[in-house]
Amino acid sequence: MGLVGAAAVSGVAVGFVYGMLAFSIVLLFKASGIPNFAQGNIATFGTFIVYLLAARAGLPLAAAIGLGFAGTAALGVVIYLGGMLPRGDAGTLNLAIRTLAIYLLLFAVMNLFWGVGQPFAFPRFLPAASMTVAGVSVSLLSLVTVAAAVVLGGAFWLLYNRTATGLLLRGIADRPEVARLLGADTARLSGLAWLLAGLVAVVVGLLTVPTALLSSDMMDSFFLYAFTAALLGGMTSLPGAFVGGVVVGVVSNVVTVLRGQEISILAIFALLIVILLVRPDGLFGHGVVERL
Amino acid sequence: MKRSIGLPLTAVAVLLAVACGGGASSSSASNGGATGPGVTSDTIQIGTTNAQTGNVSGPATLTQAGAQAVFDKVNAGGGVYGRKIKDTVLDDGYTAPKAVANARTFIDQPVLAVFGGYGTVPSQSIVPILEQAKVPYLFPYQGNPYPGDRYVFLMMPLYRNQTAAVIRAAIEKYGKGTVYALVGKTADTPQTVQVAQQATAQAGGSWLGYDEVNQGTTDYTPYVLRMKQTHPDFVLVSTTPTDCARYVTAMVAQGALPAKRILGLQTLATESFINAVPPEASNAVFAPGPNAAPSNKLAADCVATVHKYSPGTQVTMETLWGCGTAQVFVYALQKTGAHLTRDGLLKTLEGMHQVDAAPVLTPVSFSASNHVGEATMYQFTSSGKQLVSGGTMPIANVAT
Repeated sequence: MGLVGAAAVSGVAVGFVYGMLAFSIVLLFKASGIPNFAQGNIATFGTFIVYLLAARAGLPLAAAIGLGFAGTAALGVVIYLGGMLPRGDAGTLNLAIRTLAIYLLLFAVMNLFWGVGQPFAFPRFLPAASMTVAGVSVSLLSLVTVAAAVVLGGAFWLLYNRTATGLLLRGIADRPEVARLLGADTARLSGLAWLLAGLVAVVVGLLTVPTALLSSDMMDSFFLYAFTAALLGGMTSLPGAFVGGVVVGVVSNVVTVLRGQEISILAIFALLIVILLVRPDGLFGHGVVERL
Repeated sequence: MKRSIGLPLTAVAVLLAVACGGGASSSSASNGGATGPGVTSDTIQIGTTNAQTGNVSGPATLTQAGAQAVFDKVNAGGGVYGRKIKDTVLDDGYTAPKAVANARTFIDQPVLAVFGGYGTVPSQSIVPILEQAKVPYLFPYQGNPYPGDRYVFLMMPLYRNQTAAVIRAAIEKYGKGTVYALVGKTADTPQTVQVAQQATAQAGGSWLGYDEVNQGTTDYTPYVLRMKQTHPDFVLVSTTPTDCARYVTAMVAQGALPAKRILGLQTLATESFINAVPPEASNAVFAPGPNAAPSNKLAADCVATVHKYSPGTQVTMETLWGCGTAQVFVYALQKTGAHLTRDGLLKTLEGMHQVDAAPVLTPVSFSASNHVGEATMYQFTSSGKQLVSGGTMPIANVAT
């Protein structure tokens, strides 16, 4: 297989990273109806927690990762309670703008407290093993990313489709008033959604940091591609997030090797516009039917 | 008829401004007109816009720590002609808008000069403003050219000249071979690539091609794949430290290390780069450095200064760069004399020829037509995550 094939394989690998971040955006959107622009920085924040505990406080990496999960889950809940719950009926635009503000706030906090010395080399937690696929060396990290995508995708599919909690989460996103009338504790359920988004964010951060190096803006460029992936796949489709991620990864890497970076960026966003024109809800998304 | 009071008021304001010496030279008035902006009887006020936070803050803060240690040492010894050096450091986060705001603050303050700082992005954004305000801008950690600019003085050789020098030195040291390059986009990129191609040909090597990338590129694998299919002997990497590290990390992941060496500019001859990349890559690095390594005896003075006046600061290549450039700055202040003005400082700098004011740097020369101080750099390789200095390499400077 030639250069294009190799680029496609590498695109699948990085596409799953985009897909993981897109997945964390979608899972929150499904439960809250809010596009969370702070998701990338929540991932970075969680990765910083793990780094500080492991590299500076000297904790074993496994313990640091465990505490990182706990801390970031708590961060998700705090963001919800402090930033989203008050006047939570202010409308989607208002709430989306709040997530933008939270993005900036988290960035400022990370720069304030951990800005000096960036970027940091994260402690290696996977061996540097790899296998060759179509002339491309696919790292163990990429394989773990795919495995994590399958596990998380399956787990959240089960949550949303086979559990009462998942049904309620979907309910409060699609019909919050109806869900409330039916007795759903929307605050508790939304808090749970933010907690879960925080947990997934740590996974995303840990899978990104070995190649990106740890800095306050680590996820910025990833987030653009991930959000594109979420829109491509459909903001309500968990599998769609991964499909969108892989599409973005493959198109990006193939066009880059053929025509360079600028044309690659142009191609991705042209593709996004075309798909949104043809399928406004993305490849696998579904629109919300409004009763008139 | 309605009479306008605008003109008389303006005239009064102008007269008052002249009487007070004007905003930009208020310090002159306060000390009898013996000195210029930013200088009083007991203080030399300078400013630094630096990436104190953000993804280059590691090396950037170390350059500042090295410089501050020198200023503290000078101040502890009584200052320069009795004046203490006061450096106001403002954070630019390696962003142009913050750097521009900082530069405007320094112009209004006013400062004698803007000193130091880190990287291309802030530097390029503030040069036009400082030029217009006629504020000297001394020794930022970067090597892009500013042709015809009287107020900018660089210490390290231009990136394009470093590029040519490292290619020539590598081919001389490791034998003839093929060269591929990854370059970050800057205004100087086309010239840098042209120079690299010429240097490769002149040294007897073969140029295979290059890729141009934006800062903050997410995935470097496509570029590594393009490079890998050409099977180069040397790969030249010239972009930000973080992006260099990401590219080289992707090279290792793809088993695409060049047959002979990874070449780079001064950003690769740093501990932060060496520590960030896998060992198999750091052991293949060959790059020039603008100053001696911490283990070199030429660095002893700076190492001692940093240990004494900035205890706890890590002594790295960047720390020593800050120390060395500050020593040259202090030398220029002393040579300018008690009557310290911006013009006087510029004349002193332009009169420096093969000055060895900072042992950790190579000899420094400036002239009216040359505002790049160093014409020689140290050769660096790495072994076991340790930078190893291997002599010097001449850099052919072009006029700025």
